[in-house]
Order: sequence, then structure tokens, then C-alpha cells
Amino acid sequence: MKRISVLLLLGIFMGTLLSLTGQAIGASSIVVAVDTPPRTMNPHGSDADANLSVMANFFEGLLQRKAPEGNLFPALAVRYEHPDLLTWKLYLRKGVRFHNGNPFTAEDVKFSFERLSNPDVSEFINTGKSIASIDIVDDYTVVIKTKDPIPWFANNLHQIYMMDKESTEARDPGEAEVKPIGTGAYKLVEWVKGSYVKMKANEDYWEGPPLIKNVELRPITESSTRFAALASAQVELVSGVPVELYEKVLENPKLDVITRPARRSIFLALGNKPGSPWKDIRVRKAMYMAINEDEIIEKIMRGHAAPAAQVPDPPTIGYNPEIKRLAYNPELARKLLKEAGYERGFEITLSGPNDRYVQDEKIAEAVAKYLAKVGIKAKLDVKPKSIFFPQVARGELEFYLIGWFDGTFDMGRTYFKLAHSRDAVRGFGGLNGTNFSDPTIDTLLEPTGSIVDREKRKKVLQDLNKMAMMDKIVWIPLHYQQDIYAVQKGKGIKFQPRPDRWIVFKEISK
Amino acid sequence: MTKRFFKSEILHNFFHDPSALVGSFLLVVSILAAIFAPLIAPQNPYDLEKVSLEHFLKPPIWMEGGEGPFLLGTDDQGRGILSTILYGCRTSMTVGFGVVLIAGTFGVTMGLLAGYYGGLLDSLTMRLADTFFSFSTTLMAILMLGLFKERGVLVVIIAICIADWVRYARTMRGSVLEVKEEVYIMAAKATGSGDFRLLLRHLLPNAIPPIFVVIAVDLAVVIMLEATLSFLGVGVPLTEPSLGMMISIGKDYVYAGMWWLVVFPGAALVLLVVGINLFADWLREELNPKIQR
Repeated sequence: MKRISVLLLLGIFMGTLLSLTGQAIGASSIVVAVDTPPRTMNPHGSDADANLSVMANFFEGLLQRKAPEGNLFPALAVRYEHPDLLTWKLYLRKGVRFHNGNPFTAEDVKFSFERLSNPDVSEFINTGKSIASIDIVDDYTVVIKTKDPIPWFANNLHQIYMMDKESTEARDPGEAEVKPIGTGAYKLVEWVKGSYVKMKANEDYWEGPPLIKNVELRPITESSTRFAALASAQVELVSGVPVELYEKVLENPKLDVITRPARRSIFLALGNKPGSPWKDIRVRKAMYMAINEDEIIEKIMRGHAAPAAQVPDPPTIGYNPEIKRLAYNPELARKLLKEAGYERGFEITLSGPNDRYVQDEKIAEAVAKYLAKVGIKAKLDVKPKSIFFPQVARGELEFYLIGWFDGTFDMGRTYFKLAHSRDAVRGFGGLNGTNFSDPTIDTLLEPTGSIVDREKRKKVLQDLNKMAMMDKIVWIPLHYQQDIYAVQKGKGIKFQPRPDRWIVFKEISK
Repeated sequence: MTKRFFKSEILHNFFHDPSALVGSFLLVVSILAAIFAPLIAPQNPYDLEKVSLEHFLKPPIWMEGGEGPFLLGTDDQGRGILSTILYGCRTSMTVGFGVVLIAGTFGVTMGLLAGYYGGLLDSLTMRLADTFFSFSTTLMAILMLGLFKERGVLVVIIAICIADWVRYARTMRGSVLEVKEEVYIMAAKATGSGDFRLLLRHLLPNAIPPIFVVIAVDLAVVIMLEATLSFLGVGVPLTEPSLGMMISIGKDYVYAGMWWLVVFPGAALVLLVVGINLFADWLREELNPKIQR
């Protein structure tokens, strides 16, 4: 009797075990791990790409960018016209419905753009404030006028998501933060903050229902835990394979590794406060030359980065191939410091995030070490991104590590945000966290807004970029990151990484 | 006096208790390592001018690829593991003894006063202590650290003290309440001793023995707490050595097969804490009048 019950128990136990393992991810489902959790389900509530990436599945912009190159395609607008420098006329797609059944019309476009300038619900204040008027011509035609010429206006439309006017106004504002109602290919099933986001296919999607029906997105911030989830096949696709574990993933016969040069460059922003040692161009050059970037790439990034000589990446308008890195030369750096009268060095605080970019904290630590070797005492001040980025936005720092890629592929926007003197009224220098200010750059930059001709624009921006990087050392560029993904082999997962690192599930098939 | 001490029962018991011997040996070694770290460490891992990425992620010297002077290998910034452990012990000890000293003094004083005077002071102190006790010390310390803008060893010590003094106050108060009723205290009172004399000469020395045990146990708790806070990234800053920080850095490399980044600092922390606990156990038995050997 006793034996039978033991056997029975064993049977039940094995059965449960089998059914648990048998519950492996189904053919039309996928489980994906990412490194950063979404903060909100309000599509305008965060301009962080980790958030925009998740939102891209629930919401859509008037245009969209597609893998693998990130080129622009029509989405909720079928086409647009740009009759003069300030005017954008958009023709909307007909017959699109929101997840709640409401039709998508010009009213929703007007509502969504106006919502951008409400600081309570939006982090796209700059975009919102740059708009002068939004006129509804008919249900499916909208004319947007900007205050100043914005050549990259259309390039930004893929990340300005359209919300349903009726339900957003009717619902409690708090509910819009947790329950997204968009036109996208997926509907939200459940979001447990910090744990997972579950989505199901929107069968009425205007491009046709997506191939993968159920999605579970798991943010796993701890890099070794993310690897463990992959190695134990709990997840099928990982974005953000930790560089120190790259070889392990490569060795694993069950996994495929996909790498892609990232658009994001990592660089050091250095202020030029009058009276500070680093106002002197010789000191700026010395700091640049003191840093052994090749060693950072080889040792800290473990080869998964490419040296950068400027902030924009090659596909961005304004990228200038003629700009070269100042070579690593600590002797010359010491000589320059001596010439500038800082033979005994000086103190500077190097800030940076410790949970944002690949190896961010370690790069900062290495930079401090290189600077120490030429006599500059850099005090390290690395902190969580939730504390660091607001300080950048307030312009409180003197020297910091940060990353950047321009979603609009236009360097003009980059410079207006990061290098132009801070000007709250005109909305310039919003992310110029060191209060860097150079009248030459400002005067050269301002007129570029009205140059629309692509070739002419390219030339002017390239010249500006070269001058800023080589004569002024606005920034000390470090490297372009590489994005590393891993997928489970043999499951037929077809996945193409995007330049913006978003994971758009309608682009994945299995 | 010295002669009496050497012949005393305590010392005899000490030398006949293997766990006490092992414990105090570990403790003494760690203290010496902490004090003499700059002399014995092969490298100063926190002198930015000396550390170089050239020597990053070297395995221990007996493995292929290991090189001197990095006996136990290096971490991802080129710091020698052995040197970093020695310097990390320093931080652990500074925080440990610092907290015991500051929180101990404050807690004992509060407990003494609360126990002796009673009334409102007693109620206030003990309700405050109850409030503190209802949070875990780790959580309390994290909350305190959140209030400081600067980071550093001193800030960690202060934060832990704020969370930790109640242990001492509680124990001291209990002990005072017991001693207060003794006949000799009554006698001292009857002969007209003032409050001050009574507290310092009679109550403090007679009520303090249990505190020694608290100190010994608390030392280990505080050292663990510092390691925990640094592991979580809220303790000492990146530029200062800490065993907890080393484990935190090393954990990312465990799956990559670089075990030495975690195993050695982990072992050092375990030995340190085990040493203190063995010593504390012995002390508790020795000072507890109820346990007769």
C-alpha cells in the first residue's frame, strides 16, 4: 500500500514536471528578454528608446521605420507634402481603427500633437513647443505649421505616437499611463511593472495580422541573470547580451548570436566654464589624447565597439569622414598641460550613469585612470540613470560620459540639443549638461535650420561638425557601440535587428 | 593584577576552546591585514596612476596566463584581487569598528538613561527603538543613505549607526532595569550618591557585560551590512575598496568562467564573519552566568 502511494506520488510529480516542461513556448508565441524595463505605457511619457521600443508595438506614428536599415515608410499617413519651410501637409490613412474600435481621424492627430507640449504627460516638450498650429482640412488631411524651419520634422514622425482622442480624454489620466490604446499590431494583455509585458496580436491590424500571436517581454536588468534565462531556454530572444559573456554565448551550440553596429556613440561631454582649466583648448586636447580608446575597446568592450571620432554615426546627415581621432599620446598630453600652466594637473568631477550603456561605469573608471596618469585628478561620480539624466537636463555637470544617437538621422538636431548654448526660451541646449557655450558654434548653427536641400545641408553640417570637433573639441568621442542579440537555434525565429535597437514584433516571424 | 588575569578562569577557558582560538586567530589576522595593507599588498589597487588595464582579468598565478605580482589574479580594471581584498578588509574593519564605537556609545548612553530614569524618556526612547526595529536594518541603512548627497566610508558609517544604535539601547536598558533593583544600588542611594555617581560608578560597570556580547555579534552584522550595501551599489563609492563591491563586480564574470573575481573576496568575507561569530559565541557563553561549565 505504502509502495503504491509512493509510486502514485512519484507519478504525479513526474506528470507535473512533464507538463511544466511541455508548456514550452508555442509556435506562434515568443518570449523576449531585454535589458531595460519600460517606465510607462503612455506613448509620450518617456523619450528613452527602451520605452519607445515597447510603445512601437501598441502605437504608431504617422510614419514608421523598418528593419534592417531604419528607412522611413508610410504608416498612419500615406504621404506628406512640404510646400514651404514651415508647412507640413499630411494625408492620413483611411479605415484604421484603434484597439477600442474608434476610427483614426485628423482629430486624433491634432490631439496627439497638442498633447506633446503638456509637461504632465509628455517628454516631447521640445517637439510640442516647436509647433505653431495644427489645422484640420478634412477628416483625413492635416496641416502642421512649425514656428521655425525644422528640416528633420518628418524624420521624427515615427516616434510621435498617435493616441485616440475620445478615450484618452474620457479616461482618468492615470489609466493612460498603464493601459495603452493605439492602432499598433499588438494589444496589451498584462503589464506587471518591472516583471513582464504580455501582448497579443491585433487581428484587425491594417497591415494584416502579425505572424506571432502572443508576446511576452521580460526586462531582466541583471546581465548574468539575462544570460542564465537564455542558457536555460526560458527566453528565445535576448537583446543586450553582456559583452563579458559573448564568448560563452558563441560557444553554446543551442544559441545563435546576431551583432549589429549600433548607431549610438559614447562620448565625454566637457564644459567650458570661463576660468576653468578645461576652457583652454590645449587642456581639452590633452584630455582627449590622454585616453587610450583602443585599450578601452579591446579590454572593457571586449572588441564590441568601433572607435568614434565624432558624435553622429555614418548614416546621419552631417557625419564627416574627414574627422580623425586625436591619437593616444600621454607624453604630448603632459606637454600640452605644462604649456597651459597645469603641470601639476587639476581636479575635475567625471559623472556618468551606471545602468544605461554597455559597461558605462567601467569606461568612466578607466577614463579616470588615464587622466590620473597625466596628472589630472578626476573624481568619479557615477550614479543610476534616474539621478544622472535629470542633472544633464538641468545643466549641472562639468564633465560626463553619455551616449547619443539621433533618431532623426540629422546632426542639426543633435547640435541644437547638445552643443548650442542653453536657451530655455527657444528650447536650445536642452541636453547640454555642462552649460557648454561657444558663440561661433551658435552663430554657424542657427541658420542651418532653414537649409532644406539635402546636399547643401550635408555640406554645411559637415563643415560645422569638423570645426567643432577639431578646433573646439566640443566633446571627446569614444566609440560606437555594437548591439548584441542571441536567439535560440532551431526554432525558426527570423529576426533582423534594427539600427535603433527597437524590438518590433510584427517584424519577427517564427 | 596581571598575574591574576593570566591565572583567571576566562583565559584558561579561552585556551581550551578550539572555536574561540580559531575565531580570534581569524579576527587578529584580519585586523593585522587591515592595518598593514599598504605594506603587505603587492599593489595599491586604488592609486589610479598605478593601476592599468594592461593587466585586466588575469587568472590566479598558478593558472595558465597568471602573472606576478597578482597572486590571486586581477579584476576587469586591472586591480590585483589579493591587494583589493586587503584594502577591502580595511574598509570592512573601519566601518565595523566605527559603527560599534559610535552606535555603541550612543546606544549605551540612551539605554542607561532610559533604564534609570524611566518615565517619559524611557517611553520615548523605547517606542523609537520599536519603530526602528520594525524595519530591517538593511532597509533602514538604504533609506538613510538615500538622504545623503555625498558618498563615502564616513557616510556609510553614519547611515548604519542611525539604523543600528537601538540594539545597544535595548540591551542596556534591560540590563539596567535588572541591576537597578540590586541591594548595592539601594545602599549607594541610601548613602547619598548623586545621580551622576550612581550612573557612572555603579550602574554602568555592573550593567555593561551583556553589551560586550552585543558588540561582538554586531561587528559581524555591520561588516556584512557594509558588504551588502556596497554590493547593491549604495555603499562606498566605486573608487574605494570594499569586499561587497568586489563580489558585485565579479558576479558578472561567473558565467564567463572567471571564478576568482567572486570566490576570493567571498571567501575573505566568510572567514572574517565566521571568525568574529566564533569569538562572539565563546564570549557569550563565558559571560552568561546561567551556563556553568
